[in-house]
Amino acid sequence: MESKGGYLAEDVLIEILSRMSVKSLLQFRCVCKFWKNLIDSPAFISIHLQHNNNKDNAHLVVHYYDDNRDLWDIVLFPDKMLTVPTYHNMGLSFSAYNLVGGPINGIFCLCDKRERIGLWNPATRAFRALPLCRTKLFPRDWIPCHCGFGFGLDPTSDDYKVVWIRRFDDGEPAKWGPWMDPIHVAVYTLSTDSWKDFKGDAPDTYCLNSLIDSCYDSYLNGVYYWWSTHGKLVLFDMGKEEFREIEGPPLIHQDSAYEILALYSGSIALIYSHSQVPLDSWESAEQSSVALWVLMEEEGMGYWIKQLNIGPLHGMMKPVGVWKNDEVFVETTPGHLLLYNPKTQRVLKDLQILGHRTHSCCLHVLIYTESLLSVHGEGEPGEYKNPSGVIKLPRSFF
Amino acid sequence: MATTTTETKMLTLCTSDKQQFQIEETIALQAVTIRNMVEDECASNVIPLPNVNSKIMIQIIEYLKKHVDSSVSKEDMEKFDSAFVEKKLSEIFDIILAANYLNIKNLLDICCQRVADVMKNKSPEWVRRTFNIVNDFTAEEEAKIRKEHEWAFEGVDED
Repeated sequence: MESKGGYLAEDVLIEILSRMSVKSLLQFRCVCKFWKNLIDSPAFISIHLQHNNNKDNAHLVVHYYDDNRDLWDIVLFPDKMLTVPTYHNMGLSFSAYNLVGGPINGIFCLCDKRERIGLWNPATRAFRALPLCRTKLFPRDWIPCHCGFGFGLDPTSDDYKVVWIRRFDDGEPAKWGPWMDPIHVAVYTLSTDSWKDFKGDAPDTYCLNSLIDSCYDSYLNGVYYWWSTHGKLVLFDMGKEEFREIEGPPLIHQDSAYEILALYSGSIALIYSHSQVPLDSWESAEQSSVALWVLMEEEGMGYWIKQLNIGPLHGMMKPVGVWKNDEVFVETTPGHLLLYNPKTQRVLKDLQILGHRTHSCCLHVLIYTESLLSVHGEGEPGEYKNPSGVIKLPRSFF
Repeated sequence: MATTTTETKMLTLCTSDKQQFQIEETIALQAVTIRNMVEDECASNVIPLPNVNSKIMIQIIEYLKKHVDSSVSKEDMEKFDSAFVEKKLSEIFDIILAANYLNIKNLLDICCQRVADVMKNKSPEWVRRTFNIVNDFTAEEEAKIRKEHEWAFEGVDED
């Protein structure tokens, strides 16, 4: 039978098309019916994604607070040399939203100030507003306060899930401080497009109240990871819907210490830095030393291996993520992002990002690969779903 | 069992236009299809390749000869590969068909990458012409698909 793809057989056509950008593929859907069906097929979408993931086609995305414009912005570096950032005038419709999770297979999780959550694929510009997360477990006048987000894929069902940990404040002056407020965990599942109360065993209130949302993509193989300020790693298994806790590595805890989670060579890693002076006094630039600990797991037991000693870093550099070849992104003086080689102790690149000048922790680096994946459920039209009629479609940056 | 022969074992390949090519076995065995034929002893002295013509075979042998040479550095090999695919697309298509049939993965990879690189920023009309594809959408259907992702059609090269 003659190939409907023209000169080339289907398997060769797949080989070629899986190397193309999402933008090109969305155009080529109108070449002919055969191409459209191929590009829309889940099998091709998966091949395309794997090709992107395997071939080191990752892009850098920086999410930061822009002081001048007084909003959170997202910047994409389309080229691997990190030379040309694409600035995005996301406009008001986007600035209402903040990145809170992902990217997982090219999909981000967003949240606005009114606690409306959405899933966003910037490559296809598809956005899906999730239903509001409500619970009947607490009186209506209790105020939910955000503690932690987790966004990931349940590998057993290929279903995306969002875990939302919040504490509920009854409005009374707290006897024990907000750390003892009751915790509520909700789990959203994309296939059913609904939230449900998590009823399993959860870590204690004190622990869940001290989670740090420091790295959005601290997700690996169906498990989401949070670092909690008292030296524990909290895990949520997206498939089993179970929490677990793993003791952190033996760190020297001091006030000037700073920890974030990052993905390092296909493992979860903890970047720990401490210095002689508090990290928030940027003026008194002293040396700080940084260690990268990698979480290893064997038969369900976690243990830590110290993989890298970074530094001492000159001046006040705070690592915010890992790039290729053990190169590290550091924030030096608030809002200023550099790529740094810890082995040669050299600054490789100034990324020309100017974030928040007085607060650290307002700059995040994410490793992103684009995908054709739909954020819509099965059988839904491939159009923007807007149940509330309030949220505007964020403009994309491609 | 280490037997050394000073004689280099040769294979004869016969293309669709009945041309015969005598090449060293080590070079030819990089093509998985040929390797399987030899291992299964399906091949007699002459291996028929009815899907490859002599013009393409010459180029494929050039590629295989380079890639069997372990003394070539990684950078030089990459240079060779990028020069090798600097051909007209119609020729690349023919090499792809042959590489696919002969099962030479690296060659297929660099040729597919070449096609993908050329197709970047090209319009659907260009793709139909180049790939010899008949547009089987009605005008309304095509307009609807274009409308779904209108922005994706921005910044396309002039035909």
